[in-house]
This record gives sequence, structure tokens and C-alpha cells, in this order.
Amino acid sequence: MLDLWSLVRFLHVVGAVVWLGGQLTVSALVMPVARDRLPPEARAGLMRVLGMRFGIATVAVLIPLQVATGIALARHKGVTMASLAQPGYGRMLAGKLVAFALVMLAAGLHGWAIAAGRRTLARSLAVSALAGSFVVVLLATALPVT
Amino acid sequence: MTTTDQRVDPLAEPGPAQDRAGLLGGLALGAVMLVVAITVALTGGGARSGVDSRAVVTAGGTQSVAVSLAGMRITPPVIEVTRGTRLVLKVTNADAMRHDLVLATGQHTALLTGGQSATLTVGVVNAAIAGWCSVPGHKAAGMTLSIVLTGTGTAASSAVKAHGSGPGMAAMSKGVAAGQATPVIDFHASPEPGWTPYDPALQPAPGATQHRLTITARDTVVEVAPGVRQKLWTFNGTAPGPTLHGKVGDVFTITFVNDASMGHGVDFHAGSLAPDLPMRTIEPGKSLTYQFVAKYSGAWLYHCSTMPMALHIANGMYGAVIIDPPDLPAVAHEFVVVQSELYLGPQNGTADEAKIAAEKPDAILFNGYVNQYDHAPIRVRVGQRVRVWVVDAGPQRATAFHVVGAQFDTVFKEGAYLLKAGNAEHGASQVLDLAPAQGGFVEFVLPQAGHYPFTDHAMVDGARGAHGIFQAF
Repeated sequence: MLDLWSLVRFLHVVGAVVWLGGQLTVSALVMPVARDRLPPEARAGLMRVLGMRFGIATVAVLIPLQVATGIALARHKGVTMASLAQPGYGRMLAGKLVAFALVMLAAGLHGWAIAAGRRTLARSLAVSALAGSFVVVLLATALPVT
Repeated sequence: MTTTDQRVDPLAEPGPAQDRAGLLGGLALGAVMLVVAITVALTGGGARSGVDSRAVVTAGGTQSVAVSLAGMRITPPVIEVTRGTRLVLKVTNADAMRHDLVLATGQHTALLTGGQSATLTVGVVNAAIAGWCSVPGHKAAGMTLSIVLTGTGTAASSAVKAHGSGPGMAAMSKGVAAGQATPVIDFHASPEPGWTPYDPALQPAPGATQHRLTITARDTVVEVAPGVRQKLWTFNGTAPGPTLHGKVGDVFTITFVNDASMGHGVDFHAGSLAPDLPMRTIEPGKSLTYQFVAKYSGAWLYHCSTMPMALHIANGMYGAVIIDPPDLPAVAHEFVVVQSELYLGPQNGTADEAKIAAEKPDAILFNGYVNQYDHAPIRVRVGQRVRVWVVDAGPQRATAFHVVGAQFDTVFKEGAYLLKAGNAEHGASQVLDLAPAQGGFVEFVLPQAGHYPFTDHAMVDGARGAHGIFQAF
């Protein structure tokens, strides 16, 4: 039924889509094209601005949105700290939360690595954040529907 | 560009080797995340269920074991104890509904609400002890516990023995269940003077399109056959519960109150809605509002929605909702017959779960009493049209509703007319067959004065209580 909880779930899914889609767009589309078409200075400037904006959007909007809607949905579903330890739904959700935390850690470290000039590390962290985001989505789809 | 620039702006000059290293490193890190997340998601469960299946208590002294009651299971289901160990159980109800833990030794916890805990001191264990939840139906649903001795044969075989010792467990539960013998139904006996039958007449639908009523679940001692009484769980004191009657499009707002001694719920087939909230089980003293729109005509069942439903229905928690199809003509006589099964427990006790599981009813009832309308025949006028609504409440058996000496010229079953008077085929019907929870009506005219038995034409069931008489005058 279409109700308030459909809207909350919608926001949660859209948040995930924007986060994953944004990373994918930057890594798989913008980066290669910028490399081919832009002079190094312009490219560096573009990537820095894009990275900054995506980072700010993530911290200011996406993380609060995902955490708030996620907690609301979990409460609505009757998830408790104890039930996170139980096999099935609880464990699957716990795994997803761990993956989400790791992804956000990698994304944060990516920003630090850029600032510190650790280029290869920065790239590794960006790729791992992208790959980890797919793990989050995979576990989300594996959550048993009840 | 200077080297300093290169460090400040690291993305400026990527080398292919660095790129590859970055990509591979990222993928490796991603794989690590996958492994960590999947490990959290999957392995915890395995280890936990291993612990759940059996608790082994260290030998000697006083040992305490945490026992959890939830989801129709007692966890751990088996506790292995070395002979002579003094055992203490820390029992927690981790469920939304109420549970307790009763041991074959007679020791028991209080009835625990969700989140409540109690300590049960078993004492020195020198023999296997069976345990269970005494809330009706929960033991049959699997809420059992076996305390077994280590070193008396293999632990596994003693556990199986404790689980499977049918006679032992049955004897224990009988002892708990008041220790009375099950009464025997005399199908030829007559009720005492002063007995009143369940009124089979269908009351006309009220003119208003909004129906508001309160249905209260209670424990009620009810006579189900001459001299045989059961403590039924009822809707408003009778089984079947009150018949609701309305028209297509009517709105029913029911306040469901639980005044019984255990959790109950209600499920109205006459409306369509998400079961989660309205059909939830509520504990004694609580109430809920259940609102549905009768979008479709039919003879609908309503019943208790609490597990195990077979037991709750068998112990009286069923009734009918009649929604007239549009333009249903008025008739001289209109009745409702709800068929159900009786799985007799001890006198003044509740239904026998073993008989339900074995599908061995003691009797089949029309409107809740053995051969009810043999003792109080339903009087109808010769030559007048009679409409009988029939609902099969079950919980398990179908019906083949038949009126001896009559032919049905109109049959309506599960939302459609199978037959209408004056049809081109000049056809008529002899039996209305209904699976459990189905409903419909038949119409007929009795041609001359006399006694027209009506029965479940599944003859074994017709001979054990599903029988009555229309007396035409």
C-alpha cells in the first residue's frame, strides 16, 4: 500500500541510488573523458571541485538522510539491537551496516589521501568505496522480504 | 609544473602503472569489504544456531542456564546436565505474546509478558525432565524443553527420548490440565429442560450502512452436547459468535476486546486489508479497532487469528458475516447454519490438541451443539421460500449440506449463483458443498407438512452431530 512508509523507503532507496550513481558517474564517465579531453590543469581543477562538492553533498545530505530513514525504517520494522545479532534478517542488516560504515570510511580516507597527495592510495580508496557500495546494495537486496 | 605542485595536486599527472596499482588496490579493498560484510551477515547465524540447539552444563555444583521463550520455541530446546548438578534456569520471555515455562516436576514460572524474566530453581537433577509452555497450543506448536542427563547412554538418544516420549508427555499434560476424564457424548440423549438452542434466524440487515459493534473474547463454559460442557473461548459468549449482516458497501467498525485469559485476535474474511495491525494478537485487557468495507457479497467466516488457529477455531472462536448480494429478494424464512468440529477435552476443559492434530473430531456441530435442531426443530411454513446460509468454520472438515426431502432451486456459493430458480435447464441441486471457511446459501420450498431432516451428507459426520430438522406446518 502506498503510505508514509513507502515515502520513507523511497527516500532511502533514492539516497542510495544518488550515492552509488554519483560515484559511478565520476569514476567511469567523467574521469576517463576528462583525461582524454582536458588539459592537466583544467582536469585537476574539475576533479577537485567535483570531489569537494560530492563530498559535501555526502556529508551534509546523503549520510544524514540514509541514517535517518534507515533508523526510521528499522524501528518501524521492529528491529532492535538484540535482533541485529539474530541469524537471518538481523545478521544480514548488520552486515549491510558494517559494509556501509567501511564504505564511508574509505570515502573519507579518499578525501584525506587526495589532500595529502597520496595519489595511488586515493584511487584505491575511491575504487574500494565504489565496490563496497555495491556490497551494500547486494546485502540490501538479500534482506529477506517479510 | 613543479614537483611541489605535483604533490599538492596529485591527480594532475597520472602514470599508467600508478593507475593500475590504484585500481587493483581498490578492488582488493572492495573484496575485503565484501568478505567482512558477508562474514557478518552469514557466519554469526551458524555459530548461534549451534549454541541454540543444545546447552551443555558443566558438571557439578550449581549451574545456571539462560532460557529464552520466543517464536513458539524454547531456546535452548535441550539442556544436557551431569547427574547431581543443581540447575537454575533464568527464563526470559523475548516475545510479544505471553509465555511461561512449566516442568514435569510441577515447577513453573509465572505467566511472563514480553521482556519479563523469572528464575526457576530446578534443584538437583537426577533424571530427565520435560518442560513446555502451558499457554494453550504453544506446546503443540513446539514450545518444549528437554533437560537430559549426560552419561546415561548417548546424550542424543536421551534427548530424542525426552522429545518423543508421547505417553509420558501426554500423561504429564493431562495431569496439568485438571486431571478430569474426557466425557463421552451420548448422541441419543436430550438436553435438560430449560436448555435454549442457538437462534438460527438471520436478523435483517440494519438500514444504516455503518455498523458499529463490540466483540469481546471471553472464556465461557458452554454446553456442547447434553451434559457435556467445555470451557470455550468465545466471541460475545457464544460459539458461533454473533452473526453480522449487511449489504455490499457497508462499513463495519468492530471494537475487539480481549476479556479472556490469554491472547486472541480476529480475522474477518468479509473485508480486505493488511493483516499486520488489525489481525494482531492482543493480550488480556487490551482492545483494538478493526474496520473493513464489505466490498463483496457472500457468506464469510470470521475467526480468531492467534496461532495455533486450528485450536482457537476448534475451541469456539468462529462466526459468520452475511453480506447480501444486491437485489436479494426477501423470503419468508432466513437462517444461518455454521458447521464446526468438536474435539472434546476434559469436562469444563478446552479442546484436545492431540485430537485436532490427528483430525479426529468427537462430533460435528451445527451452530455449536450436537444435533441441536433435532432437539429444537426449526419451524417453517409449507409452500413458503426458505433461505439457509451455510458457513463451514472447520477448522478442518468440509461439509455437504443437504435437506432430506427438499431440492434447492437456488444456490449461491462463494460469491456467485450456481443455480437460480426458473433456470432454462429446469435444474436443481441436492447438496451445497463447502470447503473449510467457504460459505453460501440455498433456497427451497417445502411442499407439504412434515419433518425434513437437514444434515451433512458426509454420512459419518451427519451421524455424529451434524443433524437437525425443519418442521413444515
